Amino acid sequence: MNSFNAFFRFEIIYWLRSAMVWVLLAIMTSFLMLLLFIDDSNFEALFFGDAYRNSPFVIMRLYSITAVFGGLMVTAFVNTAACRDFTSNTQQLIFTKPIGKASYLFGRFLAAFLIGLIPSLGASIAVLLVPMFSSQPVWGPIHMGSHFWSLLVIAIPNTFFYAAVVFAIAVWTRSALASYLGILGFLIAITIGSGLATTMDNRMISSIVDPTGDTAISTITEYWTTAERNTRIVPLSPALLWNRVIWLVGGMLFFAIGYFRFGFNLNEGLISRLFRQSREAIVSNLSQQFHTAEPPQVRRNFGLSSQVLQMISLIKQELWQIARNPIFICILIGVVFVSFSQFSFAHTAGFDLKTRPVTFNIVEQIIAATSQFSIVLITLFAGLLVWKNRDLRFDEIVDALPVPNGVHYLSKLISLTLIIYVVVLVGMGCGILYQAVSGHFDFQLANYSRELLWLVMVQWFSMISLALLCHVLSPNKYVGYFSYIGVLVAAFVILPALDVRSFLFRFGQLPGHVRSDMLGLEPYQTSLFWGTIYWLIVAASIGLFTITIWPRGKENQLLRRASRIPTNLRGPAMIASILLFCAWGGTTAWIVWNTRMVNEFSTSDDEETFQATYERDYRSFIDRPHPRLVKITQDIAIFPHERRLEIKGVQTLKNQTDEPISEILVSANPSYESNVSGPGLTVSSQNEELGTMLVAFDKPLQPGESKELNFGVSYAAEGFEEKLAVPEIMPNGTFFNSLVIPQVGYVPLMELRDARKREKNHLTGEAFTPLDADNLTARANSYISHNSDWIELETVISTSEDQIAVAPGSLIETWNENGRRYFRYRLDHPSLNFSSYVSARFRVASRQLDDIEIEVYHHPDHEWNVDRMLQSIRKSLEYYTREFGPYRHKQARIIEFPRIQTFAQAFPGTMPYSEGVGFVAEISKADDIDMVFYVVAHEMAHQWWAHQVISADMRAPRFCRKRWHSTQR
Amino acid sequence: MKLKIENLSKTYGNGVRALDNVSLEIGNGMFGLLGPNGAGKSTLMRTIATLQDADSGSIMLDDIDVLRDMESIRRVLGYLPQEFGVYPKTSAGAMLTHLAHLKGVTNRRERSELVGAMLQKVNLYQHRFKRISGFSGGMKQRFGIAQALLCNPKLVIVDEPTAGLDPVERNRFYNLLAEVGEDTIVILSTHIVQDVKELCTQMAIINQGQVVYSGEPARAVDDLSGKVWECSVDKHELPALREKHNVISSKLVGGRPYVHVLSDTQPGDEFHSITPDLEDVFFTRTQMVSAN
Repeated sequence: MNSFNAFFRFEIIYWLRSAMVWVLLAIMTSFLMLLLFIDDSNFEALFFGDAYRNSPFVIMRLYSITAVFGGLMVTAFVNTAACRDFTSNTQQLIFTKPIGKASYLFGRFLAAFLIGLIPSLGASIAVLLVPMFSSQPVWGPIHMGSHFWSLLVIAIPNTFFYAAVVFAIAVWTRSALASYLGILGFLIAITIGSGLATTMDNRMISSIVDPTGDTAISTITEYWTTAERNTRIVPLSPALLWNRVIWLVGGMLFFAIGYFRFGFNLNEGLISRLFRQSREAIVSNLSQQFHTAEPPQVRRNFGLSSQVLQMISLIKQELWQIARNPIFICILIGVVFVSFSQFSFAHTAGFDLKTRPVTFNIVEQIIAATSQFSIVLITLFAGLLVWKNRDLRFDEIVDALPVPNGVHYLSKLISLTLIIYVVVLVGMGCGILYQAVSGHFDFQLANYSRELLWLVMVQWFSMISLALLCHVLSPNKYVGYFSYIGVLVAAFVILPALDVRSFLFRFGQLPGHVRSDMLGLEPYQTSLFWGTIYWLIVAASIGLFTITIWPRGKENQLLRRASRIPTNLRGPAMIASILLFCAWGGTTAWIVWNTRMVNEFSTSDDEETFQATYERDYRSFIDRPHPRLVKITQDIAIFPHERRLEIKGVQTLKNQTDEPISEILVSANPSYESNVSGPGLTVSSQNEELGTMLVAFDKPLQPGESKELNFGVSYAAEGFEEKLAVPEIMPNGTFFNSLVIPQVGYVPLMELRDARKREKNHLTGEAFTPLDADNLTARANSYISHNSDWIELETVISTSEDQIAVAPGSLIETWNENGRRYFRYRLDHPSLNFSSYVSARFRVASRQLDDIEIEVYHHPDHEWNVDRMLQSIRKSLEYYTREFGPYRHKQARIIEFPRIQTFAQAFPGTMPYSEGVGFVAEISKADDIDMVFYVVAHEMAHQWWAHQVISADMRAPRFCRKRWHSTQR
Repeated sequence: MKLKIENLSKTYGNGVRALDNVSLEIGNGMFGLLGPNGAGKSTLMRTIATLQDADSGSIMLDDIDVLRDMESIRRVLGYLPQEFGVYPKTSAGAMLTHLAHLKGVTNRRERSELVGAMLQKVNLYQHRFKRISGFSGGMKQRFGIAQALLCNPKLVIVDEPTAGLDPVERNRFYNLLAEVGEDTIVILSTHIVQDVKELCTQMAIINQGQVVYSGEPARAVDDLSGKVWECSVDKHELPALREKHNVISSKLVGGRPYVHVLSDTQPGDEFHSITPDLEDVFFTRTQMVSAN
């Protein structure tokens, strides 16, 4: 017992005096404080819901979701404690003392476990501290009891469990690396396990499988009201109780394994036994004479070319070591395994269907499969490479060699990059193999290379440079690991949450782009180009800085190295850093200019604000008399490759009310330049921000009188954007609808519907969908359009010569002029003011059914499901005509559009259908749902239900519609 | 070649004054740096080997400023640190080839000839495909000297190279070192007096960061000539004797303490004069500083 005290106290005092505990506590606290400060609806929904942020429910959840970080942190303590005598070479001193195994192990373990609890207290500290500084109305009364309860029920069992796992691994392997990897592997296994358990749809099982207890808490509180979440302590209901019992017992088992595995002997740990070289008995022949021959004279070179050769030699050396590292080999196997399971099991096409192995899909799967592995490899090997010579105590020899720091740095940077290349190439190989095995021989190697070997690698490259910098700045490997992870968390989690959304802050992230066969990379080329240039410059700057503070020799305190920066920055290095700084500044300025000045960057919050302002300022117009739209004649010019659109047209308005109208509201889409004009009318005011215009008639429009309103819409892409503001206009695959055209009157479709968003934006009342049957405005209008009933539509639409443009109605004529292709379409039957316009390089498949033309406009490579679509239209026409009534159009068209959005939608006689869901879905097995057939049948049904019989914009029909759509889904 | 160290001082963050105004001139040949554990030998060696900074002072190798122009000094340096590890799973030949490459031997053929010859020289040629991590202490140290002597360095620094070697290996090691060319400075640090006596033409004794003697070993011994007296005493008499006389060392011979006393005249009848050796010099010099 005495020796238990000695070990226990030694361990506790050791840790309390070390900085690590307090640093980790500070990291945990500040991370959670930031989380609690965040004012972002997505985050809010994810973590807090409607509850107070210091409610018992939230406190408990904070403890459970931080268990993963806690697990990693406790690893540091337990592993060090368990291996202490082996790493510090004191085993011979300690093990020869008269001590009991029990007191030795229990003392060390209990102390490390208790210390490991300290960082998780950050949850309570953050919850207690933040209300003092936050003025948000999200704080309730302090609830001390729930802090203790969460500690007891969540933190202590979780920490104990992780501690026990680490303890078992550490005692068995005696390797810090193995402990970290073990716990990482364990966490990954658990995540996958929980994922599988979730798909089993059994809440009890998934609650029990998740060792953090978070799923159990969600299960218990799923149907709690906000008031309950704010006041009730989450009880030990069966889900949580069994979860806790099972993982506590599991922890004890792990501890027991470790305990019995441990012996007071000097045997090597598992790792060194497994990978130990067979110690050859090398007997040197003592009597043998030394050779007296002088070594030959050799030429020595220290020029640039020899430095390159030296770098290659260093790279070979590094790669040789990494290639034989079991972790690397395991990861490569993991990449193959995960890639193939992604390819085979990922059901991305909806309806439990797989997407065909088209290259863009496979590329996305490969990125998904290799990303985690790449991050793990970069994190891990950056530390190993930077610390290698010092860990092996070879640093004094290497550092005294005539090799410049830059050569050392570059060799590590390039080695790590090559390693990640290997990972990505293995993924790519798997992808091509899978395509070949699936009989898909259109490999698109150019796309593969551009996406995986260039764009993805730029991301990893800049992350590698960051990781190396973190380790070079850190006093030891573990601080290096933590600071690297900390920077990534800050860049990818905290900054976005604080509304800093530019990709310029997110390491290696490029401007968003959608991978699509139709689009290719053309629309994103410029932004991706500047994005990659930016990150390469950042990586180069980081590299140069890293070289100037590269640790060399025995004195590596940061301050000392920093004092050497001026000396290291002489001559070419100085010029390089000035150039890099200028390049960085110039690129940043150019990117900011293009993405923030030339183009507007709007977030979803901006979008909400816009919608809220529109509603606040113009809702009153909903009941004012407006003329009805009866006819549109328009001329649409699409310039795909310039991403430019010009529309000129005339709307015929008719006063169908019984009072004269002197002023009307026109709502235009503010992403486009819009104008209206006409004889006898003036635009009295215009709000560019909201796209609204007030139009006054010189002479009030009398009841029954008609008026022509000329309108113009234009858009031209300028510069480049981080996220396309107008993704409708594309070089190949333009798709926009009638909301692009200025609409007379107030458009209730623009209103925010989500109650939380309305509250956040200080909107009173509800979005417009009255329940009240006496609301005549609602009864007078369909839910599609408040300004029209059935309209006539005639469109001349032109596009580039290689494309086909489609608008609703029958194709009257088509002609070529000035290298452009023109089409004239006219609706055969008056329809809703709801039309779509598409232009792309299409192949057209068509059938004739009586006098109806059935057509599928599709990307030339996407032929797989075209016959199903034709078949579905035919069957739909037959069935619906028989059961419901005549079809009103002379054509039924399915038109493919890029997978920027993934839906299908019914416009009069035309049904745009996304590339991403239907055209590349794989329907092969007998029990696969023929989703394509049935989505088309659904859209065809809309040609009757909505396009012939449509409900008023009221709540009851809205409910019915929603039911219909959800049963269809 | 001449290595000139002037007023070199170094204080560590924890307040330890490792080098205190050290000035030395070291010419071609073998130079012994003698001092007790913790005297500052390694600090001095590492500072010369560009691995550490000094707070003040200068080191010049002819006209190369060692503290500033590190790159130039590294080109002529051969350094064997007190302790070094090796890369796992790497053979002696591969490792030495790699190091030769880093030392600027970029021609593949020349490199392999050089490495072969060097391994022959240190008698590791037949083990060139074996992993260094499997080597015995002596073999590893021979590998160490092979890498230090690679490419005929002008300045060779070996820090306590024979610690832990058996007498045969130690001899072997010194034979290798003794073969180094005449136009080369070799600095050998050790706390074993015997080493310096056998090898060095010049030496310095360093204690608590200060140079307490520098010059030829023989001269130092001469200085003490006629001043060292020996007698054997009982264990319990030792404290009294220390009070009375300037005892520079006491050691056991057959279990009985023999003391050496420094005195210009015979300290007492029981003392007899002995011919001083380097060890007496070492103890005398190091104790003078301690007494100050």
